[in-house]
Amino acid sequence: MKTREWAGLALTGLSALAMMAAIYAALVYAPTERVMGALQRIFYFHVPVAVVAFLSFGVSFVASIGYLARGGRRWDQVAYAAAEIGEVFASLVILTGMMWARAAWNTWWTWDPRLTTTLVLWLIYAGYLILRGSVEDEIRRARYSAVVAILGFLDVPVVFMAIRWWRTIHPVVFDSSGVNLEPAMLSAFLISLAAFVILYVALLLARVRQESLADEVEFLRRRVQ
Amino acid sequence: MSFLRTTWALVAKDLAVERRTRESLNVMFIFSVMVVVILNFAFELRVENVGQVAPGALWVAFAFAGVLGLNRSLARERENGCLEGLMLAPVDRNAIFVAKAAANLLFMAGAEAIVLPLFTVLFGVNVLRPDLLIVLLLGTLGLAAVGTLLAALAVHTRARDVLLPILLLPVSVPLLIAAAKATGGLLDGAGLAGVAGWLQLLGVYDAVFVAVSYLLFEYVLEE
Repeated sequence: MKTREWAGLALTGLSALAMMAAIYAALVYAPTERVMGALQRIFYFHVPVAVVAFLSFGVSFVASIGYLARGGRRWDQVAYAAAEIGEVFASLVILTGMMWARAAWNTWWTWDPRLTTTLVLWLIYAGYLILRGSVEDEIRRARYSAVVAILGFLDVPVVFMAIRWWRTIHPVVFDSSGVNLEPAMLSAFLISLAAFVILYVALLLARVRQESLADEVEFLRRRVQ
Repeated sequence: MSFLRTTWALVAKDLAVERRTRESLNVMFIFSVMVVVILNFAFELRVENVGQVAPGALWVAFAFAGVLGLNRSLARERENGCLEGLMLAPVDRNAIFVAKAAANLLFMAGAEAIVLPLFTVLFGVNVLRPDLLIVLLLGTLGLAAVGTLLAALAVHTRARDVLLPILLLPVSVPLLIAAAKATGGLLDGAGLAGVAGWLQLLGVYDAVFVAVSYLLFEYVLEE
């Protein structure tokens, strides 16, 4: 095996270990919250997943700008992989958020700024993935999807502002006054965040590699014909 | 040719085509009326005061009708090979965007101008107010600019016109919230000062997205 494949494998193993540590930290190590009880433990998964989803869309945004500015297949592969993984994580954010909302606020859905922004973002990138599926020409597909990824990501802060003015009931754990968390809870949160970021990097690298292998297969197939 | 003259020539071309075919305006007008009528049926059974949902209904009608008009406007260019022709001509690419967006803005505004009096009659809410003009202008400008960019790429995909609403409507969420809120505020008698926040949001949205659409358009055209 090549060094790159070894590195990928090592990263995957590391993310598995980190995830186990995160599960332990969230379910056993972190103290039970006084008001919400065990319910609060979903926070250790919900928030890191949300961070990774937004991070991933950010990576897609930067890679899309890179593609339009520099060109080259690699930028497009990264933008595509990041958008796809971001969509998966955004789905998880919405699902875990709904579970939390049901238990804490007694409703499956509220039109809160963060939930709604995530939903709008989810819709934008669903459109992005549909767009990618309906353009045959590689260069045109890369260019069109870069345009949509840039437009979609720039929309995030504006959507958030608009909905925030509209209504809000989301708990604010991190605000300008600092972190409103118990030290043990904070370390559990940070362990979980690290685990999800490592998992994200492993997924992104694997997905980009898969895309370039697909390119290679396509190239070889054309040569045989 | 200078930028302005090119732009004007392209807008005049769109206006001439529209004057002869009346494709966009007719479709947008009939479709908006249909949306208003259908929403009225949907609301009438449960909503006690239809005036409360009027701003939302109005902007849903404008956004949906706008999608149809934008698709028509860019599909026409593709069907006739007109965009390719323009790209071969020594014409500034940015002028093509400005002209198409301006023509779309005019068509959408035209359809809105016919829908407003009808809406006043059908919903029993007076939306023929001069202070509403600024909301209509800001809202339609943002829709027309982003819509022109996205329609230009949507018509070149396999999914064709189906793709535009899926791409445009989520990106337009802040614009639609702000426009519906500002419209509602004005109808409730808050006055322009009372809805200044929403107008500002519309202005910011327009400034950012008109500029970004303008910058990105050349990547959609490039062959």
